[in-house]
Order: sequence, then structure tokens, then C-alpha cells
Amino acid sequence: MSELGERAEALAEQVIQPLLVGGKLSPLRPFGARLALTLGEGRRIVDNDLRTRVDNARLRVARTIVAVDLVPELDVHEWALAAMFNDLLQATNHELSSWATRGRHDALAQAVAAACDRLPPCRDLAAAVARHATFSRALEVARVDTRVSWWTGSETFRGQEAPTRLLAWPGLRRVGVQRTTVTLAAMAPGSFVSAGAYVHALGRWISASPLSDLASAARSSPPFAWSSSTVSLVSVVAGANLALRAIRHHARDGRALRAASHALETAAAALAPGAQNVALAFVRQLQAGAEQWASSEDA
Amino acid sequence: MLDRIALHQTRLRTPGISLDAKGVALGAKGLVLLPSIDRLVGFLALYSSGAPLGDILASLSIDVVRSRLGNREVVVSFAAEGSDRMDRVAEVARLSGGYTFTGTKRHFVQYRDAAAPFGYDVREIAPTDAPLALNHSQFSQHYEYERKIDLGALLLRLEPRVAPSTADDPGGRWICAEAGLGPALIQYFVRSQVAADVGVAEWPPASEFEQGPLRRFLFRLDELPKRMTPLMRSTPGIHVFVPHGLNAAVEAGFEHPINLRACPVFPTDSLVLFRGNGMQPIRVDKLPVLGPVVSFARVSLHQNTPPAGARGAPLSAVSVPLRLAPDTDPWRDVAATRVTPRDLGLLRQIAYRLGTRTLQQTRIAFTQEGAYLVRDQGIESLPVGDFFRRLHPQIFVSAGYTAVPAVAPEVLFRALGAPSEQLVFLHQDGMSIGIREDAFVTLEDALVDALGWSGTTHERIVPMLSVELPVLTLESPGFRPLRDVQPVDEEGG
Repeated sequence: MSELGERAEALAEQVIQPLLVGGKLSPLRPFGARLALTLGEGRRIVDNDLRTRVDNARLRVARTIVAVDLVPELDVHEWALAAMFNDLLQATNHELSSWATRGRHDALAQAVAAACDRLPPCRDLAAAVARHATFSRALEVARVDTRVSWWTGSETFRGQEAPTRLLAWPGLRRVGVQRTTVTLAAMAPGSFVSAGAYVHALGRWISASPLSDLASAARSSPPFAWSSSTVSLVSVVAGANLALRAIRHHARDGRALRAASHALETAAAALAPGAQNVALAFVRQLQAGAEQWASSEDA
Repeated sequence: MLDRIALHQTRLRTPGISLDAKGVALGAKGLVLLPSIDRLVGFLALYSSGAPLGDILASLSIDVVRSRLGNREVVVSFAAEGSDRMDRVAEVARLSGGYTFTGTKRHFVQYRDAAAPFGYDVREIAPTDAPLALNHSQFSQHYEYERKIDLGALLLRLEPRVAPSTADDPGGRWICAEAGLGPALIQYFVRSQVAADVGVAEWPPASEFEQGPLRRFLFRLDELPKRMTPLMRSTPGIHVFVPHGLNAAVEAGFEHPINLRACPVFPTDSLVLFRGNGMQPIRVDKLPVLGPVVSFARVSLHQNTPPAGARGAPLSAVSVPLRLAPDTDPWRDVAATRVTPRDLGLLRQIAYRLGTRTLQQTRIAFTQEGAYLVRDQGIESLPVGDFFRRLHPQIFVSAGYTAVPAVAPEVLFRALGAPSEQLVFLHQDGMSIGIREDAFVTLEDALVDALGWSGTTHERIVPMLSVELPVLTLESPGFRPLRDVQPVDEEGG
């Protein structure tokens, strides 16, 4: 297996698989836009067990919005999105740079945003469903920061376990351990990447999967913004239905639905008149649907 | 106890029993249980009166069996072949007070009757070491084989009964005359211009007190003039016999209990003459050379020199092409069929109904003329295609037709060039197809397509709610982590 093949297999094992089935997500060395966009050409996951787990998890997600028995294997664009996601996570890695190379973080975030712009939109609804099946849980990725304090000082470990030597003799040294969960959108603060560049890159990355983008419209950061992909998706009946199902499945309660509806409506104000009409029609459809779902749940 | 087999039932408990194409439970063998020798004779008489025993003779076995209680009964076993034969046997057995069973090795079960059109199956197999276990709806009995009964010996022991009408039956006659009467009888036939062949048969001396072998004159007549019949029958030392088949004859005025024409059990070169009035039959183990009686007529010699002999013409002068002519004889040895490409779909449908044994025993070869199927045990279970009967181990002729001129199969085989490892099929339309024997594969190998399958891995089913959250762990990306990342300006270019 070539070095690129090994990196792709590692990407599938350490990033894609945890993204779908949970567990420890360890990003690899950044890929860069050129490598990311060509990584998935003629590629499939070599490990049969891993591929089966990934495909089953994707199918499970796809079935939440559409009755399908098969989701196509990861295509070149999904491989690219996975590599970009890897780079985005690496942009928040404080170990990426030394004191003399802090600019790497912003450069990497900007590279991700630029690569997302070069990624073509979904060619059909099946591709949109496939991307959503792979990346719908991206915003659930979290980092656990550990702050260890003792009688003479304290130290914080971002996304790493504290060394055992600091945890020794907890009673004598009055060791205190505090763990904080940091969501994906909040990973920029405290790292060397600028918040603006990171949020911009994350927003561009999420918009590459329009169904995931719409499903998580109620998020606080990055704020939802209509893109050509999302507008074109909801402009067709089947795409709008898929989006409604994705939003409903993503929203835990009526409040989340209302928040999503509000976010969609607010973001529609920035659109051109024609696209705005499409977006607002979808918002009205979502509002009507939310009322109907609420009444059916009450019944 | 037995269960009736239901329509479309597929599983049977009795070992060696399977369902044939009609859905009737059938084993490889049929078996008739008869209470005594008298009933056996009755059974054979009834059976042979309507159909030849030759069909089942090759596999026929008659045994005296003994149950654990000591009573002896007679068992007739034969190859079942099909439900048509078994149905006929069952009817005859019922008439003669016997029971019909079917099975393969040890366990036999009652053959179908009006109460169970598809036959019977045992509810529970009783463990036994006995070589024969019969399961009937009224009883279950285990038997040990005691001795065999040879059919030929049985026929010889049966005494012909009086039947005066047979004396006037038209047709040929055998006449057996004691040694002293032979020459006079020859002259009598020569003088009366009766066409007859004569030969002398010899037997070893009956005892040490006799000086020479026992001799009798045998006469074969195509027809015995009626005026001679009283003389022949009333003269002591002369017996007139009516032929029953090629190797047996019964004395005129008597009739054998069993139709001897239907029982070709005696060797080809032999002759058995059954005498009435309680006399032992005359057995001629090897038929003597027979010559026309006119050979014994008075001769006169010409004074002239003998004429010059004619020169022999080449054999091709009389050779004729082989043809197939319709044959009115019942079909026998139908062991092959040709399924045209148009009927292959029907064959595929029938294949689902065939039993394991049929699939294993049937061989098939695919040619441009269609699929040829051969089954040595008989092809009746495949009711599709044009049937062929086996004329020679390597020659098959369309069923219902016979090769003319009626040469021996071996001659025909030589005429075809004695092709080794080839099966030759002579079609009724004159087409002759030769197929190499190694082109035949068993039907079961040819039937099933290669089944596609794909490997997969098992997955532990995890409830959706218990799926873990992805947790980011940050580690050092190593030396020069951005060596694959080009600046944005370059990438944009």
C-alpha cells in the first residue's frame, strides 16, 4: 500500500469511523487542499470490517431521512470533506506549531475554507444524503480539556490526558482534576487559530453538506447562512422533504424546531429576492410541519 | 403404524423412499409378500397372463422368509422402476392374496392403495437387525431370509394341467420320439411330404445298469397335419408338444399354470418339454443340430460331371442402407431422451421435481441438436423430449422404431465403425448423432448454476442511543506538519 493509501486508511480509521460510531478521534497530519481533493480518487476502505462498520453507520443515518437499503460507498468528495475536517481539527491543535510558527493555524484554517470553495456542490439528492450520512454528527465532536491543580500550581491539557505524575499523591498534594467538554464550534478560543478564520472555515465546511447544514441550522456558531447548495436543495420538493426530515430528526423538541426556523428565516434576509422566496417558502413549510408534528405528538 | 402421504408432502421418514414425478412414494425395489407357494404360482400366473415377466426378470428374486414367530412366507422382490409397474403388480398381488410394499434396502412400506393415493410413510422406524422389515397399515413384521426359489426350477416342478383345446392350436409343433420310433417317423414324414427338421438328443445313462446313453429323436414341424394328430398322440413313445416361447413347449392337450411365453428363464440354446400325466419334463440342455427330414429320402446320382461353381460377388453387391422402421413391439430399454432447445425450459421445470437418485443416475450432454439425457435404469422419470431405446451399450434408436435390416446389434455396431467412447443416437428422421461419452455429465452437476456469494463481516448491533460521542484527542502531528499544505494563493492557482 502506498503512503497515500496508508494515510487514507488511517483517515478512515481515526477520523471517519469515530465521526460515525463515536470514540477516540485522532486527527492525522494535515492533508492540504490539493491532496484532499484527490485523495479519494478510485479509493475505498481496504479493511473489510472497517468498511462494513462505516457503511452500516452511514446507512443508519440515511434511514432517518429516507427509506434506502444501500448508501453508496464514500466518494471522492466525501474523502475530501473528511480530509478537510481533519485539517480543521488540526488547526485547533496547539501542538501544530512552535512559538515561531503560530501562523500555521490560521493558514491551515484558510486552506480548509479555500478547499471547501473548490468542492463541487452535490450533483443530486443521493449525494446530499450520502454526505449527510457521513458528516451529520460532525458538530457533535467534542474535546475534553483537563485542568489539573495541586497545592503549588495548575496546568491545563487540551484534548490530552494529564500525565500520571501530576495525579500522584492526590491527598498529600491536594490534586484537583477538572474536566471540561469543548464542542467543535468552541474549539478556537484558547488555541492559536483566530476565531474568525476558524468559524469561517467551519461554516464553509458545514455548507458542503447541505442537509447537515440545514439540520443544524439552530446552532449558535457558526451561524447558519443560506448557500447555493442549501437553496437549490430546498427548491425541489424531494429535497425540501429530506431537509424537513433532517431538521426534525436533529431537533430534540419544539423549541429547537422554532430556533431552527428562526435561524433559517433570519438568514434568508441576506439572499437575493428569488432565492429568498425559495428559502422563505421552505421556512413556512417547516413552521407548518412543526405545528403538525407538535399536534401529533400531543395526540 | 403408517401415515398417509399428503399431496405436496416432501419429507418422508422411511429410509430409501422418495417421491416420484407423480408424487407417489416409491423406493428402488418393489416387494410382494405372499403367504404360500400356491399364492406365488397364482401371482406369477396372473402376472404373466397379461404382461411379460422379462421386464422384471433381471431384478426378480423369490425368497422364502421366516418371521420371528416361525411362520414362513414368500417374498417376491424386483426393481420398482416406476409407479406404473408397481400399480400393476399391486393389483395382481391383491388378487392373489398378497401385499405390495416398496423400499430400497431393509425397510419396506406398504405401496399406495385407494386409501392413500400417494402411498404411506412409517410414523416411527422400529430398530431391528432383521434383513427385512415390512410395514403395513395392519401389521409390522420383521423377517429373516431362509432360502431362494429359482424361478426356472419352480417352473420345472409345476405339473401341466389338462387343457384339451390346446391340442388343436394352430402353429408349429415339437415331437419327441423314443429312439426306436425315430427312423420310422422320419420315413413317415418323408413319404407324407411333411416339412420337418429332425435331430437326435442324448442324455447320460439313467443308471449304471444301462449300457449306452439315452437317445430321443426331436422333430420340429412348422405345422402338423390334422390327420396325423390322432396317430401321434395315441402312439406310445411319441409326444407332441406345443411351443411356448423359444425354449419351452408343453405337451398338446395340456397347459402349464404359468404362461411360459412370458417367462424367458431357460437358457437360449436349451429346450424344455413339459409332459402331462405326471411325467417329468424333458430337458435338452443343448439343442441338437436339426436337419430336414428330406435329407433321409432316397437319393440318386447323376452320371454327368458336376457343374462349374459360381464365383462369389463382392459383399457390397447386396449391402443396403440402414433405415428405421416403425415397430409395434412395446417399448423396452428406453434409456435416453433428446430434449430440443425449445423444450429445455420444460426440462428445467421438471428438474425441480426429480429425486436425488434420478439426478445422480441421469447423465446429460449438450449439443447443437439439443440436450441428450441417458439413464441406464430407464428414462421414464423424465417425461420430456424424444425417447430412445438402448439397442446396444453404445447405440440408441428412436423409441417405437427398429433398425432394418434387422441385423444384430453387434453387427450394427460394427457397421457404424465400432466407435469407441461414443454413444450413437439413430433418429427416426434418419439423422445419426455420435456424442463422446466424456461429454456426458451427471444431471445434478449440470443443473445448479454457480451460486454467487459474497463474504461479509458480522456486526455487533448497537442501539442507536448507546452510540458513543466522537471525542477529539490532540497529539503532535510530527515534524513539518504542513508540508502537504500549500499556501492559499498557490492552491487557488
